[in-house]
Amino acid sequence: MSVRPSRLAFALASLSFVFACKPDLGEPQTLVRSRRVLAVRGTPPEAKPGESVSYDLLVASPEGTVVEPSAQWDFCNALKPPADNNVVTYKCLGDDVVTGIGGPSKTATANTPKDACFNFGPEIPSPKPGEQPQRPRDPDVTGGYYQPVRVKVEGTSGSDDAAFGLERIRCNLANAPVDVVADFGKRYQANQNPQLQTVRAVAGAGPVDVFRLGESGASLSVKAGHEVTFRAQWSAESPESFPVFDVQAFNLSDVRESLRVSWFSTEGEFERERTGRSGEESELFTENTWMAPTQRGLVHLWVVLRDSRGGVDFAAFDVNVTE
Amino acid sequence: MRRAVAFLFIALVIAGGSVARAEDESAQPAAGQITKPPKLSKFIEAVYPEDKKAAGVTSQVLLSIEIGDDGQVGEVEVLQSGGADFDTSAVKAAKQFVFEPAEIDGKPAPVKIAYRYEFKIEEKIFSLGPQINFEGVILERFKKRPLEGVTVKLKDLDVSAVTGKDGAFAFTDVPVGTHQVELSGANLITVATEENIEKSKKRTVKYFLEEKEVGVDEEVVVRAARIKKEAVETTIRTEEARRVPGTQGDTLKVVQNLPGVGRSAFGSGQLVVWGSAPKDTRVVVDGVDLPALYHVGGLRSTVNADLVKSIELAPGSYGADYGRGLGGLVKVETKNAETSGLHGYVAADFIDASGMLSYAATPKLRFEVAGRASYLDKLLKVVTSQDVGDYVPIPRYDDYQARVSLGLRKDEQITALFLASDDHLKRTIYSDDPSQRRFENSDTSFKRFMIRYTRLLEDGASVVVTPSFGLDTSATEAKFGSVPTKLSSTSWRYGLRASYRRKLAPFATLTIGTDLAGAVTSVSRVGSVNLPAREGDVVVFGQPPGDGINADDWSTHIASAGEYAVLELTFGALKLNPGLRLEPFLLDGSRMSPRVQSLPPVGYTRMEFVADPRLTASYALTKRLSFNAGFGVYHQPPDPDSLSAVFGNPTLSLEKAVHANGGTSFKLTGTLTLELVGFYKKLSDLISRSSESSPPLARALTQDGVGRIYGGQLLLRQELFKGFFGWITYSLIRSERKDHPTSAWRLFDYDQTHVFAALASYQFAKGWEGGVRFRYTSGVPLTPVVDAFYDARGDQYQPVFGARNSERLASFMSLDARIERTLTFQRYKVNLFLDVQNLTNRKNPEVVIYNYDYSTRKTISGLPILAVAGGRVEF
Repeated sequence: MSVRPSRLAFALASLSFVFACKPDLGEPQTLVRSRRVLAVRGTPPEAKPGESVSYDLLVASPEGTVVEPSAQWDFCNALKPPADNNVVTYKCLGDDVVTGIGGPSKTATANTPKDACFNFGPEIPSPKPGEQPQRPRDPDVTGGYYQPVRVKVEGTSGSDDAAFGLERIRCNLANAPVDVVADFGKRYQANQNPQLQTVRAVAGAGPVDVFRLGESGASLSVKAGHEVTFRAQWSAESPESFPVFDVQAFNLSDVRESLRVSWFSTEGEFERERTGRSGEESELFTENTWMAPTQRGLVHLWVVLRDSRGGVDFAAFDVNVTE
Repeated sequence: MRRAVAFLFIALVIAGGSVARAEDESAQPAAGQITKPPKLSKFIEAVYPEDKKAAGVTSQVLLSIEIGDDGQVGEVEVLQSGGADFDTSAVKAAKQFVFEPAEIDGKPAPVKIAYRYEFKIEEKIFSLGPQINFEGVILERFKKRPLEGVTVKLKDLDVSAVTGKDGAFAFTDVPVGTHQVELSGANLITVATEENIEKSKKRTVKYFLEEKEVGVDEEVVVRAARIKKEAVETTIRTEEARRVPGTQGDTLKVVQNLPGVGRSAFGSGQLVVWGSAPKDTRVVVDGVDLPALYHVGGLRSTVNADLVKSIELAPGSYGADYGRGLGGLVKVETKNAETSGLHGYVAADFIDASGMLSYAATPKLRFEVAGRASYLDKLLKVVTSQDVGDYVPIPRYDDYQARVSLGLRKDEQITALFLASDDHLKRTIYSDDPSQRRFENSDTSFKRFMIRYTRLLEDGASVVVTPSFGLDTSATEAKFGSVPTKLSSTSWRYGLRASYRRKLAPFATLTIGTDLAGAVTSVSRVGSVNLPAREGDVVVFGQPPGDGINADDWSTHIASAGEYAVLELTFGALKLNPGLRLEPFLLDGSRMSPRVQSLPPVGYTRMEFVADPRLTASYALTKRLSFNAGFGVYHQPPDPDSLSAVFGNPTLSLEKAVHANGGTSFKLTGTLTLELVGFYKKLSDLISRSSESSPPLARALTQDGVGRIYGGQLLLRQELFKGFFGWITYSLIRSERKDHPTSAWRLFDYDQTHVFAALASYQFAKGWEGGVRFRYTSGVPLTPVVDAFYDARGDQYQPVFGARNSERLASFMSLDARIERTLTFQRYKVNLFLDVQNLTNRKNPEVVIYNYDYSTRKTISGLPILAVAGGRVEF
């Protein structure tokens, strides 16, 4: 927003609204200044209660990717009140409401709790005589329910070094007509993690793939203070289509996953923290502009690709900033 | 005047030969019969001894007087002395008496009589013609100028006097006793009062009368003297309200500056009265509820200011004629159009444009139409970037009104009033991140149609009947990333108010009435249970809502019929207004539990009955000093939105409040008043969100909250006097809530401990006016974020909150000014104004925002210096 000098007669009236913009809150989320968890990935990202899931994570630091982070893995069993805006209750920070599933290690494998759909899904225990049944949990907009997975990584920022992944759990459709349930069962495919294919840099010398799936990425040198446009491209299978039970119309509607990319670097500045495509957009890529730092040196960068059902992929690469 | 009088005690006629002898005061016939007693034909007053008269000494002298057969006095003897000087004087006078002679057996004969001469000093009342014993002067209430041509009528005597140029009147020889006095005039609100005339004393009075707004009919004026029924009440005349700085000439915005009213959150325009939630304070126009006094954003009121006659704010303990609210009461009264011709105005400023037209087809049949439309959203796009509205929602609104009044018989009028208002808010924030794309589209509107019948009966009783109908619509559609929110409701409203007021006795007036109101509402909602937010929710500005999605469609019918009676008792200096409101509530809903597949819904119908006593009292210790107190019980039905089986609780019932307050008012001068009030409100059965992690089905809201509000307020008010008016007000308020029995007490979200406002306005010469306003309020409470953790699925940090509402925003201060020039021409008047808010450009924090991981926090400031200029042409 900018005020045209020629219209100062009205400027005072408008200033109040212009001034209501956000103040400067310091460094953006894209800058990695300390050890941080950038992603938690479950494979598969959606499982039925009792099914086995492998978890891994991406930990970044100013020195680059932490290759072997020491992580403690737990399922959180604490329930979130409906009035809580957070996706996970803060009680999950306590050790008395969690069940250990692995660690300390970079990865862990565990069976999704069998009661996950009762605790975090739409299924409710039978009420005692004379008691009102419980209110079922509400699904998210994709129809999903999630089991919180807590991961504590030594030395990372955040409360108690804790970060949470959310494993999507496959539960029965709640309160849906029988025919809809049957149709849903036929058509619904469990979510798969999206797949980053390339990260391409467009700088002065032409496009360079700094990341390529299954291959080594090319090295990239950028002059200090210069801009680079990065394009993250994902596979055509990444944006999956799936049916969602419409809680108002009581029928199924088909939607396509949205995909978004989070951008991180140890130096320099991304124009936007996250970019992506909604389900209505057919493009298989997203772009962001990065301004190289004014100091030369090696800069570490990461991209994390997420789909709207909790699937994750990520990549890391470096840029050499020259004078 | 003192004077000695001669007193003929008794004439004793004693006939005894030639000489009558008297041994006592009985007649002693000597020979023959007295056929005619002597008769004093010439009386000579005795000289009162000067020294005795000066000393106030009185006396009596008993004389023996010989009366010859020719009537002449012979010997005079003192039979009983009254003192030497008195005796001498009495004898001397008696010797000069002349009698008609007595007759014995029909012939004149000498007699001797005993005669008592009394020296008495007594007050002599001389009649000097008619005496003025009741007089006075009549002044205009606000400007204190003499009113000429006012008829002062002593109703019980059927005599009248008319004031002269000096506003003076006088009555002569008004009989002792209490008399009914009625004051009336062509442009005055007729009032009646009583005066007591005492023996030999002159009663001198000074009356202050309120002139009618232009065009106000005699018919709608209450003949009885206005009685202050509320224990705490502030009434502002439109003449003053329009000139308050910061209101941009909008009369109704003055309510935000009245004592006990907290500052509304930036851009909300909500009324926080005595620590009550905005939804708990009722706004009525001519007795009919309005859903909002201000447009979205609080920039303007929803009713054209030129239709408003007066605004009254009762922050608590109001009378039994109103109910259904736990908080305060704002009463707006509309006024009649002028009695002749075509009049109106057009006005415009940076925010909007408005106009009004009134036409009197006959003096009794008058029409008014008014309207307003905003263009700030369009203007800002011109002067700033095209997408300004995408970042900060700029409200768009319009309102329009129509009024027809018809005078019927004397003291009888029927008025039809139509009010309508629309608000639109649209914002779209595009982001390359699909999860951050937002849009919000909100449309709200209301319409009210009412017919008001008023009649003043011959016996002084009055009748007011107001049937009304209305339609409220609200539709909000928003999306935060992929999380949708849809909330739409349509309410058909109906109501009937009727009251009858009459004097039962000189000290007692009774009002009885009915207050029926109902709403049939259909609601449809999709989205998170946490949107829209409720009071008590702990949220961070900009935080995405919970991502759980649900949906519900339901309808309700909520109605109540309040039957009330208010007695106005006057016992000398003591006035009591006991009242009782009996009110059955109907709570009817379409859905008792969430929708289960295709099963038909099961509804409910409940009746709740409440009896709410009310009492206000005032005692005038002196003419200047009075004390007042108030008490009342209030009930409020749940709003339809809360009765959802998915998002709320269909079993919710009435919330309750008990108000108590007491205070004093001291009139420093005729127009300068100091008021002090202390108050306490106890709230129970409050509705709040369930704190359970797994609440029962259809119990997302619970009703076990309580609250307490206590504090005091001060008002020093100078009413309009010689072009100046202003007030200073300070409120000290503490408002707390306890959402559940096991919860801790917390500050109410809108709690503002200190609220101070001072404003003044002065009319300079040559049409110039100027005013300033200063406001200070404590910052609203906020819940701090003490920690955060990372949500790797959403790539966002989640806040961990500290104690609820344990911190506050920094205080708010603003200095505002207004300057105005009125140019008067023969047929029209031009008014130009400049209203500047926040002259010092202070950065008042409005909300707290955090960085991505909640490690840094800053505030967003509200209005910087803001000047709004505008003009108005009246004709």
